[in-house]
Amino acid sequence: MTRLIQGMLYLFLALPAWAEPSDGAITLAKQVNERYSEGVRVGVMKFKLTNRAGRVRVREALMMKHEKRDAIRIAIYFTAPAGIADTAFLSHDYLNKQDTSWLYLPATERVRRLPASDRGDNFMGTDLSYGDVKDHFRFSENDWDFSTADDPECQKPRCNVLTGEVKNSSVAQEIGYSRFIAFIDLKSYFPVYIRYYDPEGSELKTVDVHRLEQVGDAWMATELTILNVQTQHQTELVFENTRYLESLPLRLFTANAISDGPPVID
Amino acid sequence: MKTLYVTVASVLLMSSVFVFASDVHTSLHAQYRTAAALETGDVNMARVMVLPRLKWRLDRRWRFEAKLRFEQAFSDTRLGMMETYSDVSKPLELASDTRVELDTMVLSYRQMNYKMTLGKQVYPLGVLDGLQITDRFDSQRYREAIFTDDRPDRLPRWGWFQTFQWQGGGLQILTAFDGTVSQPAQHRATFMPRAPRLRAGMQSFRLTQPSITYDLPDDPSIGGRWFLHSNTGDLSLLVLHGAQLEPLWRQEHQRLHLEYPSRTLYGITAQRSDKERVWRFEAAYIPSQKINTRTRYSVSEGDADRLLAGVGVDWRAAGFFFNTQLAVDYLYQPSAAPVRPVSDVLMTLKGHRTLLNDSIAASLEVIVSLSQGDGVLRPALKWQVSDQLATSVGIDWIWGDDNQLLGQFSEQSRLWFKLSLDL
Repeated sequence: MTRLIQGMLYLFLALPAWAEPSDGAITLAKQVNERYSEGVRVGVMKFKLTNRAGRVRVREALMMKHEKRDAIRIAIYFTAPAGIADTAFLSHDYLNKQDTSWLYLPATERVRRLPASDRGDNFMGTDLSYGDVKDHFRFSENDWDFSTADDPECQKPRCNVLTGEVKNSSVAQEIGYSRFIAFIDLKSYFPVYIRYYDPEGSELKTVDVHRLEQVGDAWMATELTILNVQTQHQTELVFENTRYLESLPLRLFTANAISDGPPVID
Repeated sequence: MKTLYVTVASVLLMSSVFVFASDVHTSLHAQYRTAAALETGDVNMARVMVLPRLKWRLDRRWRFEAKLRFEQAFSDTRLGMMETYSDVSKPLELASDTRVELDTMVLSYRQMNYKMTLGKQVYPLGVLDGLQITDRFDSQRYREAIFTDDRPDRLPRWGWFQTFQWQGGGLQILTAFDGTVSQPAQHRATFMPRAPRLRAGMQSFRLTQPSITYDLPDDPSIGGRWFLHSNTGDLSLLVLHGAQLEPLWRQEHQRLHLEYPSRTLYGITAQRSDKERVWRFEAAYIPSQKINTRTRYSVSEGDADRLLAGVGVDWRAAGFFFNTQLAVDYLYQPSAAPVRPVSDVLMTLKGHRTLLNDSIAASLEVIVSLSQGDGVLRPALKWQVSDQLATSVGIDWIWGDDNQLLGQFSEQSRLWFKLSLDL
């Protein structure tokens, strides 16, 4: 209840700074969502998880992404630590069809379909949500109403502020966010800083991109920090050996394939 | 057999030499598990388990994997019967209740749309959790009945598993050459099956262990599974032929034999996901399954067509993951009154939540027999202390009567504790 009141108070205080939805905001959101990212990319994801007390845990995974105009397929194979090695996550996001995700847990020996409403859950103990991993910091027009705003730390011609307010409370519950403020790099149309608010309206987490790289013709955040401001838990994510590939067989992005462990990629 | 274990142990030890090579990965899982009976406070389980594992990527297509299982039990739960293992799978017994078992040893090959694994492995089937409707190819360890972390607790067997895959579907062919059958708890062990329905109708006090022999199946088990995938669901049809999982009791000259006659299973599985839920369904038909039937003085047998069906759903609410399932196991027109009920109806409900970035995991599971009234309540809490170390605590609170699947273990309700290490 206290959090709800806090959230409402915050929303009320924040309203004057909230701009009206504008064509400029919609155009900017479209540029972010339609930024070029087709093709195949692979890389090693290294996560460093630090809690409030300073206790550190690590994760390492092979990431493969196959993106076409109508479908984005992502496979993530965890390779370390030993306790979660061989756990694998697969998602298929379609433009005109229902999205689907699978998780392979070695202990159960089975690949499990996940409900699409898992988007708001944290991804393998990190401060990223399943939705963050799948959306790659895009903001769907189905989920958000957009506005632009000003911030002295984000100034044109290199940066513009895009803000979003979730369409309704059920979307907020599903994605785990009610609002965001994002600094968009106008060269890559990639958000280099995002502040998310939880469904009750309280500030939830920040995403700070430290390094953007062009992999193939697409921009990719290869070093970023996600801080949960409520729990002070932090995830540092670094991509290594990130590569663009001409192609990768689609059979590697099937539910059957993820139980085999990470494939060998030349 | 001893030579095989020495060879595998040597490979695992030698692997430490190659540990820095990029294509060889070694890991080790160690676990200490103990439990105290709720009724008496006596420690009724204490077990150490160490599982070293080696994965070797030979080239792009070939891989080798081996895992050993060292176990030592210090309690009445013990490690399960040895007689149910085939000669090629039998663990080495180093001392009483101390064993080394080859858990996995497979050579696998992948090329384009074909993959195969040859060796000692498990063959998981089905889409429901822990309920065996079509998942009836693997034998299981029942030394703790069904009160394990993950169900079913599969017993690996030697065989060949092939998958042919094409756009949107495929075909799997399973062959197990190994006659290992499901492993019950030892005589007088904590989870020894006591229910007359599992003992050809006899009360457990009538049985003394030396009078029982196990006739393991000689013929291989084979199976085929055709499957289709789409973005919203999966469908599969399967046929399995091989030894039935439940033993058939036979009596000859005052001696009891447990046999595992062959049977054929025809099954279907389906999954469908929508935005909020994932629905799962399985059904199986086993014509003329051999069953023990009721008789006044001795063990007798008959047959019945067996129908199994189950449905389950996963959903999330308030940060929790929920799964509930309902299953029916029905004997259609048995030739005589069976020792087990004609129908068993089981319901499961599980809730699970992780907290503090997966450092804490809380779960609650309920399994209830709607037809018999027995059941188990299983709350558990896990703390991931570090990437390597985790500790868990939980309760298996079992209720029911002696002739019920779960109720027969009602005196074994327990508080358990587990410490695990992953390196």
